[in-house]
Amino acid sequence: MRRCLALLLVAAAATPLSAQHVRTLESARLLRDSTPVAVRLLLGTGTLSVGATDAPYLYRSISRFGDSYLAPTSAWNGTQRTLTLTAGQRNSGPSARTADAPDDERTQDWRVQLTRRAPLELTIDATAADATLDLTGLPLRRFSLNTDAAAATVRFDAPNPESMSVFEASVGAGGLKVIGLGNSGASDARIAGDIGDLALDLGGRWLRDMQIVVTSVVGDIRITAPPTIGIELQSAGFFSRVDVEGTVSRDGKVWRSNSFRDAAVKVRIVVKSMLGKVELIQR
Amino acid sequence: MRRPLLTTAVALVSLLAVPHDSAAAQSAPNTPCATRDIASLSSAQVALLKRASLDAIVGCAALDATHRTNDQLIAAGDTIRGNLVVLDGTLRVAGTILGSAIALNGAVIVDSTGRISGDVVSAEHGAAIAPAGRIDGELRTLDAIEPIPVGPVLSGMSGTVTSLKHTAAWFGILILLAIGVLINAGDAMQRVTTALNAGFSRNVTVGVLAQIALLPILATICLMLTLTLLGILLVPFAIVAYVIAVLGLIVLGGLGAVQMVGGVLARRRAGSTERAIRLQALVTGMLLLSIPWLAAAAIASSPMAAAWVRTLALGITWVAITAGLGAALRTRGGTRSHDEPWGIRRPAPSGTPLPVATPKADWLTPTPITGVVAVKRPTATTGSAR
Repeated sequence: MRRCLALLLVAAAATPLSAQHVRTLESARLLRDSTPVAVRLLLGTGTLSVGATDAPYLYRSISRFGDSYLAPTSAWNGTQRTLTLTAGQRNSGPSARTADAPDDERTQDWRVQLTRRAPLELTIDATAADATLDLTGLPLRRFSLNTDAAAATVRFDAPNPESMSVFEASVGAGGLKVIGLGNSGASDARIAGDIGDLALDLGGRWLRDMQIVVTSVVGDIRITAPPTIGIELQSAGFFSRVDVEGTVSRDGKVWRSNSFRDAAVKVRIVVKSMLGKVELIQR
Repeated sequence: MRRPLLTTAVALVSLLAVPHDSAAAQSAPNTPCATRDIASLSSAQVALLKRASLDAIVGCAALDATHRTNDQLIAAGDTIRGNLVVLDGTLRVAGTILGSAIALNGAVIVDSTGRISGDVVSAEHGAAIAPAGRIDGELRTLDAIEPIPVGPVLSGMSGTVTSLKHTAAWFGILILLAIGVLINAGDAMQRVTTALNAGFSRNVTVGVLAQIALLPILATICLMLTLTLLGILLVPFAIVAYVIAVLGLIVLGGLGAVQMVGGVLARRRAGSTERAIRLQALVTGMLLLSIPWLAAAAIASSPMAAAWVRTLALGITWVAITAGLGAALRTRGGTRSHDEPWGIRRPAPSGTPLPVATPKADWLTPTPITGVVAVKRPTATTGSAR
């Protein structure tokens, strides 16, 4: 019996493992004109970073991926001006290794650079990916981020050259941080989180009013705003409380900047939080 | 009951993480690529082209192309119709290519007068484009061609050996799992085995009904939880707990069935402990149930026959697991005997009263228990009093 078990253990240990292998693919498409383009990035798992490029490309994608993943793909429709880039999809083929794969084989790093020269409608759908999205300088007319389980950071360090109709971000579990929302140029922002903290920095150069709706199931919401804009915060929470810091006064379930009436730019925020703390800091 | 269930469920989850036999999992297209113009190439170059054609980044354009070797220049004014592949050299394009330009083991350089209507692909040496150069498709540079052949890898003897190794590995893991359950929940497994010996078909019926009811029960639980705010928050936890409980029952029942099968052949030696006998029964049962799987692995080189045998093995395994699940349910996770009625079991006090017939409905009234009615009412009597 013991011999039999020992043989079985050896047989189990002898299951072959394929050699680990990580590849790098760089792909790009030349930009012909400045007609608006709808860009969609689909990421399964891994890490994603998005930025802008001055090179004469519509996009430049650099992907480093292990055997556990399929090669990135792209689909361009010149007539409809739509671009879809895909990466981080699990490989179920013979070279795939999943749970027992070495770390290198589970590597999936994706960097995407998008043009500054054509207006963009950018949609990012990620299943389980950590995303760092530096949208500084990108001419965005619309932005939408959907993640299931990932932490995401979105930043606008400079004003958006285009006027954005809507800024949407929906994160499942993982949390979201938005830096410089004032630079986004959006008139409407919808931010939703299921589980995780949401941090909104309303810094930046404000050119017009904005309506923001923040929805959170479980997690804290922290909103920081410069004193130059007027803030009106309306909270509709179940098991949440609102903490306010700065020159803000309360009127029932509504908190307003003391300078709200005279402010050149007014930002109205509706917060719907089920469980968590809502924090508004204006100074 | 929780500990055996949890132990077996965790073990099963770890099992599920083991990669499956990859015979059925193919991601690359198996349709052959059109091939032309490769007669003058060396066998190594042809092999490289075939690898490249199977690589999703390059594709069939590697084979369906005009093939040239060493450094190549497409001069201004020249036009190449169709794909062009250059092997082991640099491709410089000043003219026009009406197709894709591919360099394997070489770079692609597009001059300002160059125009390529398809994609530009360069393996291992990058690409350069002059500002006025024109590429209608995508520019792709990659560090290496996919080194692992993508396609039907399990063929011939190597495929058979690989399948046998996978089966043996599964067998070993299941034995380890069985030992774990035997140590932590041996009595529970024994009760399941006893229930299976008492009536196999009844357990199969219960098992089938349980499998049919699994999802509706889960849906009902979730629905009921959503009736309250707190319940909504508990839904994910309820789902996880439910899955763990079901997996635990399946593993416990499956191993109970294996022990039952092995118990038929296991020999009881003088001086053997009860646990050793059970282990022997488990290993024997596992070997018996593995025979169809091993047979399927042994004929992996014949896909059709292997598929039939694998289906047979799957059927046998399903019946064993279904019967085991039924037995595990009937024994309430191996905590009680299968013939014990459902309901709350209370510890018997000292001087255990004899069973008393359930009073008729007319006794279940709030009337005083005195008088003529009380005299006629049956009362519990202790064994000693009897």
